[in-house]
Amino acid sequence: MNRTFDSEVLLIEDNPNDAELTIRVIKKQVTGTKIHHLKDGEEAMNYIFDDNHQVHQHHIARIKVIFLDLKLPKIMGLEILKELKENQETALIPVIILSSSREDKDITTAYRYGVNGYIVKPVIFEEYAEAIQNAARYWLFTNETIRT
Amino acid sequence: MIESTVLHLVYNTALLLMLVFIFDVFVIRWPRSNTLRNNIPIGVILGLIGIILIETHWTLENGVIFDTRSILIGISGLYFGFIPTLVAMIMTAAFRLSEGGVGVLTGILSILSSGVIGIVWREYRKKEFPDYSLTETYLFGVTLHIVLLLLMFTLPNKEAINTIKSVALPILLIYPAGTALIGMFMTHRLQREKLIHKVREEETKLKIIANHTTDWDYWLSPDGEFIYCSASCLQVTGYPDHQFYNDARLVERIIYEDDREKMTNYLKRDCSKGPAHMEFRLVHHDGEIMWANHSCLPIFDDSGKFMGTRGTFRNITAQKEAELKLIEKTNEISQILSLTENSRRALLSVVEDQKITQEELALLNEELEQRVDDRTALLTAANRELEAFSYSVSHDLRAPLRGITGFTEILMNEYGDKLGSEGAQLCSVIKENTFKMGKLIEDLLAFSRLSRKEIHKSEIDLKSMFKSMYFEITTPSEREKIDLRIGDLENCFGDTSMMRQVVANLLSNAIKYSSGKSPQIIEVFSKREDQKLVYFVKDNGAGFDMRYKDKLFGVFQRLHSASEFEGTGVGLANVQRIIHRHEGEVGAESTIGEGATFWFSIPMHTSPDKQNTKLKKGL
Repeated sequence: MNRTFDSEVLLIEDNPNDAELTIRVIKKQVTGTKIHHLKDGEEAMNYIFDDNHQVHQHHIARIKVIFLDLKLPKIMGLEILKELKENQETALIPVIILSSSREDKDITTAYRYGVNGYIVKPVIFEEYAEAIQNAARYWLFTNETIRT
Repeated sequence: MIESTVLHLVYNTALLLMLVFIFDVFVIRWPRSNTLRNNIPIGVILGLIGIILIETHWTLENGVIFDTRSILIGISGLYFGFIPTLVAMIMTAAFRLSEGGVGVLTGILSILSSGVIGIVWREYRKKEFPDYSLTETYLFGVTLHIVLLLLMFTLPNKEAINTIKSVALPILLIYPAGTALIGMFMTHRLQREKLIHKVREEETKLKIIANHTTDWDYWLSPDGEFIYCSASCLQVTGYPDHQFYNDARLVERIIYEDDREKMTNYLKRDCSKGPAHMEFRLVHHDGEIMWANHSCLPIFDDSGKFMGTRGTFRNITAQKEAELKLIEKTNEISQILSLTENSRRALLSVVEDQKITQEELALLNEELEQRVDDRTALLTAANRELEAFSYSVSHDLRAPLRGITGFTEILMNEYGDKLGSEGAQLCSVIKENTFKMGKLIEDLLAFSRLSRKEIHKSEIDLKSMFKSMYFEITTPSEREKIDLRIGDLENCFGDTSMMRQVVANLLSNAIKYSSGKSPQIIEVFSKREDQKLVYFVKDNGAGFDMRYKDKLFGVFQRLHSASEFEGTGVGLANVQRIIHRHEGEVGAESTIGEGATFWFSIPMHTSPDKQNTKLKKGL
């Protein structure tokens, strides 16, 4: 199942354990995939937008899919999602929420903002690994995205 | 000869005066007997008088007999009318015919001419009441006797001239005067009778008026005696009129004692001066006190002489009583009005008080609302904190577990050969415990979500829900050991997804705790109690100790060890929370080793008929 991939996966996750497990699972699935890990909301916003709220074209050009946690320090995941989906240049990048929350409110708000998928992180690692691998496979290979 | 003529004239006059008597009796006294049957006898009497008159004639020298029959027959025609005159004419003419003599024809003609002239004169004058004047009767007499003289020419020439010579003067002078005299007598009688009749009529009228009145009318002479006292005094006072005629002072005595002095003064002083009236009380003969209105007027004749007093007593008791009642009612109304005014004032005062109370109430309400707002704010804040807590638990408590399982897995996969079999076993224990904790957290979060979730009620077919849930939570091999008996369950009104959790929990518990029995018998049935529907899930499983039944529905409360039956102790807590949110109750009965019966009740939402309808929706 291992495949090579030159595009970038953006992972916005504050929990280092979850981040490491996620990176391991994706890399195991797609060999050579470049995963850019950002540790909080502010870091994520600075990576995508400059001080004038202009998009860093050279950053976003490579992003194939964004895995976004909801509960992030400084800027919450839903705020980042809103900014991404409201901006014409980032609106088309697939964003998948990776969250422990099963709350209706979170799920509804995310979809209202235009999220492309919502995965509740299972506690059991096998289940978690399977969910991440399925999502990564789908968004990196199965699903056809708009080429910029 | 002259003596004889005078004598006969006297006789004749006397006979003629009988006419007046006959007229008086038959015509005036019996005025209604003017019929053929009564007129013929009058005519016969007149005829008889005529015959007697002829009999008492006097004979002239030439053998001509002479009498006053012309006056009789003429007056008869004039005053008695056609039929009596005709009868008298026939009788006298017949008699004269039987007498014979030279003047038979003349005699008969004189009878006929006198009668015809009388009847014609009466008809011509058309007098129903023949009150001819003296002049008219004299002219009538002259006419009658001129014709009589002319009839003398029906005698032989010699006798005619001799007769006319001898009788012309007395006939033209005495006979008309006699006719006028008799006519005058009769007219006078007639007029007198007419007057008497009129007076009688007036008298009758006055009597009728006086006797048909409810007022007591009287006339007192100047010296205080009753000249007239109407019979109605009996009605007014209870005393008959003759008692007043006999004793004029009775009037004073029947006046009520308190009014007597006032009334006596009034009668003596005021009534002789001019019109006056007064109201006072009388004591009726039967003892009853009654009110009377007295009015009086002095009477004076044409010369101004005082003739006494005319007075009237009128019974005004009913009117007076009505007046007194009116006064009484007016007083009552005044009192009521006064009371009403007081009530109005009291009401205004109440309204005023109410206004103050309302203002106070509004103030209290405002305070209460403020307190409610404050409490709501506190509650909202508490809820928000709870949500934040749940959110935190949801995210932060589970992430480390994932780390533990994740890294344990990596340890096992990547360093398995270095761990050895014991190390691998320990890793499995770590994973297993982490899994249990994950499940616990998951259940706790679900329980927390339940209390915040909105309820959307609809009609639910619980029988179908139990059936489908049974197939969802069991495998075919498990079902082989289970004997599920679902009775006729009533439909209920509730939140479908929540009720599914209730059904799932109770059914899975029943299956779980009866797993040691073979066969596992599970019964589901419902009952109606008051306004509630009660559903029962009964199993033949392990049961529980009834001493701990209160702990059954508490969160994380378990009555069995994990080694006996798996579970987190959240399922029944969820059931209780859901049923409470549906305003129902939950409970359980059990005997250890024989099984348990769990029940829950839901209030009837609609009519029983509607609740009975089987609907498949919401499953």
